[in-house]
Amino acid sequence: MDLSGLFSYFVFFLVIVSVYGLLSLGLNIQWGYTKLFNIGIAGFFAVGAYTSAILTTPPAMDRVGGFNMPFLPALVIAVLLSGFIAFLIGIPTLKLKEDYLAIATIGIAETIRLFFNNEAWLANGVRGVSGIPRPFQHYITFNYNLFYLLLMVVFVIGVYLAIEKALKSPWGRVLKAIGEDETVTQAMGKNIIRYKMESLVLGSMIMGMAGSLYAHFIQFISPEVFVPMSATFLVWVMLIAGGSGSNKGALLGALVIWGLWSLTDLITNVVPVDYAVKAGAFRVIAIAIFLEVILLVRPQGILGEKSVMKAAKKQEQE
Amino acid sequence: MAILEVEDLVSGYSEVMILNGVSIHCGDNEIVSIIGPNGAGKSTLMKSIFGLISVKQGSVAFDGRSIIGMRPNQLVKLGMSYVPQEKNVFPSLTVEENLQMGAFIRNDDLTGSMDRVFELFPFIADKRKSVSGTLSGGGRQMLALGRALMLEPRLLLLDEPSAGLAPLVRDEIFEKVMEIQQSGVAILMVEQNAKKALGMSDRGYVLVMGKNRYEDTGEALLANPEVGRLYLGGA
Amino acid sequence: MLQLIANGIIFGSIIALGAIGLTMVYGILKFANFAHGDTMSLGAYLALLFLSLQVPFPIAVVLAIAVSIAVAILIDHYLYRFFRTTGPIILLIASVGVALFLRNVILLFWGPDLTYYSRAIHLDFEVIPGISMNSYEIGIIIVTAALIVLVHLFLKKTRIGKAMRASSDNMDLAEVVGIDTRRVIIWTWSVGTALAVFGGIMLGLENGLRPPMGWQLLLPLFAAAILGGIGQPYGAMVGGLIIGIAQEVSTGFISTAYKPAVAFIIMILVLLIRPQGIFGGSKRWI
Repeated sequence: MDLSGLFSYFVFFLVIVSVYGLLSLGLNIQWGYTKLFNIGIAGFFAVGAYTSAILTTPPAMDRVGGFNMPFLPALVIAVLLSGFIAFLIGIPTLKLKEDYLAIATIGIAETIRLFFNNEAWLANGVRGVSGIPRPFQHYITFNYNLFYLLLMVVFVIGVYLAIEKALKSPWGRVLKAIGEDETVTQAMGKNIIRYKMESLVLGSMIMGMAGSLYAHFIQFISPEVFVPMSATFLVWVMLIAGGSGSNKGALLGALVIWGLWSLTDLITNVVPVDYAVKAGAFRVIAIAIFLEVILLVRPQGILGEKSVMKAAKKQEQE
Repeated sequence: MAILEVEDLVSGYSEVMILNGVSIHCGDNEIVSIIGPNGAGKSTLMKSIFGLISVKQGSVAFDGRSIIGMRPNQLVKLGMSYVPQEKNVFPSLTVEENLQMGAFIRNDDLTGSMDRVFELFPFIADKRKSVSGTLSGGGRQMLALGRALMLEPRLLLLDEPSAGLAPLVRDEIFEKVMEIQQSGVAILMVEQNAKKALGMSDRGYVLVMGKNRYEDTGEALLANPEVGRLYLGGA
Repeated sequence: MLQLIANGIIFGSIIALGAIGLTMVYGILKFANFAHGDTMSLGAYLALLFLSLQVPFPIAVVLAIAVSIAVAILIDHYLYRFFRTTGPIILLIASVGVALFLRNVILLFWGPDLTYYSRAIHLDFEVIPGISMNSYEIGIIIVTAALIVLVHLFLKKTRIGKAMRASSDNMDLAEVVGIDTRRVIIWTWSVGTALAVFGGIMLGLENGLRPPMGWQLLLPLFAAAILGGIGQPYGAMVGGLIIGIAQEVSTGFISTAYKPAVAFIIMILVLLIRPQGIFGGSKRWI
């Protein structure tokens, strides 16, 4: 690979990192602060991506849409729709024990994937939607991927700052309090369900945004993209490795884990085709073991805050 | 000779110590009550003796042998049983099954022990096949006591045996506790109902702020004006 | 329609066997084990391994169960055990990792393609008018019924079975009264895994083996467990049959691809209307 090849690979790499960074930030609102266990990230990611794809593509014969809609309005609709689906999921599950949300979210993610897989009239089924337009393409005279990276950076920084600001507000303090001790917060007279719902919806909206931005960059999506492994599990590993409860950690985790994941991908590409499946399996095994080791050795992640309980435990040992 | 000897016990949760040097003992076949205000560490003391909270300092000896670090299933083997304050039966199991669980470590036939329990508590004998979740509060307390007797312990730790019971039922439970003691079991009991508890006890301790402040016979503590004023609710 | 219901009973039997183990682990260890479906796959593939070593089928089943139980207990000992005090969600995350681990180990050793225990073709015949089954399927229903009776006797009559019910009621109290809770945990994994392996092998007999076979069953398993009232083996049995029948009957109206979604929608409806499940409430394990 020559220097310019390396450069464009690096730009591409960072765009994907930013997409994962957004997913990871969204999950951090849900899990890092409010301890909501969303294991259906892929579903919200898919809703965002498909909404944008259907709205912005030119009309097609064999499926619904496209509506030739501009990038930004489509993005807004994608974000709102993701939030709306999160709201629907929240209704039956948020008042129940935490594990039910996990089961329900993986259910919705699977259902969404099956839906796009089977309903060819909607989004071309397994063949997917291609030709998703690149925003502002006509105005960009330099390396488009580099422009897109800048666009992503603007979105990531914007979301990051907005979350940080929101978390410092009274609303954010309640969210954090719920994550730390739900019963105490409830005793303070806070409507826990409402705050949890807001956290779930907000986090899922950011995931939808990530989906939309991903679709516009890659220009092609199919249900295959939204399998639980790449779209859900990796994000969890990112957040846990980076440090749940820390937005910087969420972003750092996206960078480190996607880096490791891409590195192992390079290795997979080197081995003969016959071994590609096995190498792929080996890669997932490695990342699964990596997750367990983090949970055992450094559950707070690289940048995570030690919870009060853990600090106390430490003191006890000393 | 003391069946239970607790010396300078310090224990608590993570960084917060609740007991700061408690020393008590319980003789063979004695009833000993521990009273004191809320938050004095009465329940913590029971749990620390029974190995449910790790002990930071001090010693706990049963029959002259240190039992610190032992798990409950080892302690019951030695002859010590503990009846926690609430949620002390398995609600979905029948009365009989609850009693069987009290003798989990035993492999042999339990009929003899079970008959003795039913003799002591005829009330639950009639309901041996019922699911214990349907029992009244008093019934559940009797079942919990009965289950603790299944291994014929020499020392019984009772955490507030009368909590949440109607006065009439409460008196019945206390009578049963006396009966158990007369059958040769030493009893260490924590009670809110201090007057009643001291009245039936050989000796008593007043636990305040994680330390035992008074120690005397039950009668003497009842007669002690200071104890009466501070801890027995009025003069 | 009758045939669809019969298919549903076959598939429901498999779900029920998986859901019982899932619900037991939930009841006693208090966490949603996302690796349970992959435990089913592991058992199914281990049976394939032993069969390929020319071991007779029943012995291959026993060996597959033994190895799977050993794996489950090892995972508990080296992983889950450390998270028992940190709450159910960390356990859940850890189990997702275990699920991926197991599935990809299977992929690594056996590859992604559909395989079968035997190439022999078992013809369907009419069992009663309107319902056709092959000999495997009749076997699945009989074995499941027998296993359910065995589980019932185990929970009701044996000392350790009662101790498992007691631990599910209240683990702390079980510890206090002198039940050896470590033994209870080992038995819970053993019984749950054994049933899962039976279910996995039956699924392999019915549909062939593919690495994601168990993972794809996870949603129906949870739906069955929740429908029956989570933590309750008897509920899981009934829940499994209901989900199985609902999924098969749905194929009469909508694409078969939506089977998992049917389970999911039933689950959401249960959560909305009766979150404690049909057998939920105070009378647990009855």
